[in-house]
Amino acid sequence: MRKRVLCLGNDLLADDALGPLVARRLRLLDLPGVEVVETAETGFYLLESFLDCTSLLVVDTIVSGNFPPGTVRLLREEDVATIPGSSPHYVGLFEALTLGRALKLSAPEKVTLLVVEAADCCTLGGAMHPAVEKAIASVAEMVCASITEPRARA
Amino acid sequence: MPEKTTATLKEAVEQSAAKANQEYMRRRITIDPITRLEGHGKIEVFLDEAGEVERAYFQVPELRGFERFAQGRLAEDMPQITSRICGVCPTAHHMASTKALDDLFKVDPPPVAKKIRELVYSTFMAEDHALHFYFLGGPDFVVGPEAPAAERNILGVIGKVGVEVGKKVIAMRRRLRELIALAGGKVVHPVLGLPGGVAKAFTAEMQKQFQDVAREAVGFAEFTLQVFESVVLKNSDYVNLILSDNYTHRTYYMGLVDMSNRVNFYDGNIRVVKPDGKEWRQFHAQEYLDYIAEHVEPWSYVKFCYLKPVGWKGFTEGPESGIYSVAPMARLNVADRMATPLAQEAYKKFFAALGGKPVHHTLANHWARVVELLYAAERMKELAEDPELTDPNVRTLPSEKPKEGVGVVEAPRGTLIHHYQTDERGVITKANLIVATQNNAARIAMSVEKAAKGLITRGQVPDGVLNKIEMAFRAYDPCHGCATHSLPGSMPLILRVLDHKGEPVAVLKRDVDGTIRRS
Repeated sequence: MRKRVLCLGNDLLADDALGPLVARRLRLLDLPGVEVVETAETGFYLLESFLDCTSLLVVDTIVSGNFPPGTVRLLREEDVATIPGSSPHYVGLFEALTLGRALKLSAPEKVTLLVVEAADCCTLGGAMHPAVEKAIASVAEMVCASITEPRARA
Repeated sequence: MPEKTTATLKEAVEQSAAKANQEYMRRRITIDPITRLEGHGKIEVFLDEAGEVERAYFQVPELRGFERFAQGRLAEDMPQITSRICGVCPTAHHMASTKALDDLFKVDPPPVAKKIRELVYSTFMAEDHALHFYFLGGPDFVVGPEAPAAERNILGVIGKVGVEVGKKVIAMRRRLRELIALAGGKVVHPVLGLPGGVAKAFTAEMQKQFQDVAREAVGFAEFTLQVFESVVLKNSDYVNLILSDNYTHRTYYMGLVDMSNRVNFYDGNIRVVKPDGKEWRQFHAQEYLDYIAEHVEPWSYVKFCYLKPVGWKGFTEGPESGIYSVAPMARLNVADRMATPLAQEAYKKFFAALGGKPVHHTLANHWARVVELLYAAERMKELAEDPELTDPNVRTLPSEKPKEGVGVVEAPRGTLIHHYQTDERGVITKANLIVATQNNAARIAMSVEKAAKGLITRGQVPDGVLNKIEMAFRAYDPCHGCATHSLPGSMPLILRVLDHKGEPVAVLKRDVDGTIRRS
């Protein structure tokens, strides 16, 4: 079973740096049997990032507006809307995942999401919100816990 | 010199160097408060006293704050930094930035370096256009504009073209990306371009790999053109939609052309044609400020590009208005022909079917994109077969003091300009970017307004307005690469209607799952 942690985000864009920063912390831990991938790509460009693994844990920021910045949540795929491409122009991870599955490519069956509520993912060169920055360490710990205990749930 | 004095002098020099470095580092890392990017996927409609649409616009995100962000950084870092701003077209930023550095250091790369750059760039254009046609534009044209909303998505496209074709698209794209990584070091953020050349020479083996994939890419592009012809052109409803007045604006067009006025993605002059298709001006990228100006409206902080000598006459079309458009259809409009034989045939067919040059129908961008896909693949093949490609002399070393440089390329979404000014060390004092979507911003606003005017009357806002407006701006392929990483990844579309006093009349929001909510 190939386990992969996919950390999404752009470290030039304020809180969006969370994913790459978690990835860098995880690499230091050198987790056995776990592949850590970080990318700033979006939409369909993510396709290759999740092929050829059986279990995928995605680390990213989320802007739901329903939680204070820094709130960490563990979600299953079905917790997040997965209807593909209501607007073909704004494709995201799930559209890419749907495409991968529809084409019978080696897309993972199980996808778990570890998300942190962000305050700002738009400001070029902006600082991270202190609460989001603080979440980096706990997210890295949660990734380790969730990988060693596959049945972990929020 | 006495030892003590030497020591004092050394100390003084070190202190001064430390202070200078500290100052440099401070400028490097200090980020002043900068304006946020515009809200994404946000449409604002302003009504007059009678409740009729006075103006409407779609907020186009810009790389706001970039100028400040770049200040104090070394110019030679820009190809790496700018390619990381956007998750959709990093290669375009990398190449425009590299070309700006050539100009900044007044250095002319050796011929082989230019060929390698153009070869990698053509590979990137082929990859991006293929992906866009099938999976982004596909739901409108392959599935069909009249298909139920539930089918107008990726699964609908696969249902129509079949799993095998879908796999073919993905496999082609993968091979093209592998080539970019082979030549550029990395696919996402290439490290190929250096001022005066490229970082890596081609080996015979690399050349062979490019030749093999380029041949496949030409076949793939021809196949894609057949798909377009059989699915779209044989359906009169689609053709009528392309030709309909709702999606037509008679504006100026801009794009790069080579010495023979043929489409070129990597280099050449910027050519602008008038709404009647005749050449208006042709100029070097370095002169862009004489021709391109930015208009600011009080109700938006989007900067709308327009042709400076023509002037800003509001959101109107025609030869008196400086509004222009970029992207695939604009590129075909400004060129006299294509530089490769198969693309030239496709180009002739494009204009013959759409009533001659120029074509003003925004939705024709989808077709123009396929013509360009064929050109990109053919150009790849030509360059990959060039016997000079393995020449190891891939760099001319810069020797001039830097001051100012401008670089231009045609990004998949249109003309992209990078402009840097530096001090004598090459530290950036001023930077400016004109991205493709900014060039199109005024025309996109007009398209959105036309759709809004057609649907909103006497203050009544029907739910269907969202989809119709979306069709109007989608063909431009406006870039929303920034800030879309955050989950859920897909972006909601929000429409706000404001009355003449600026009070909200209605807010419609379409969530990522397609639900339309009104508040």
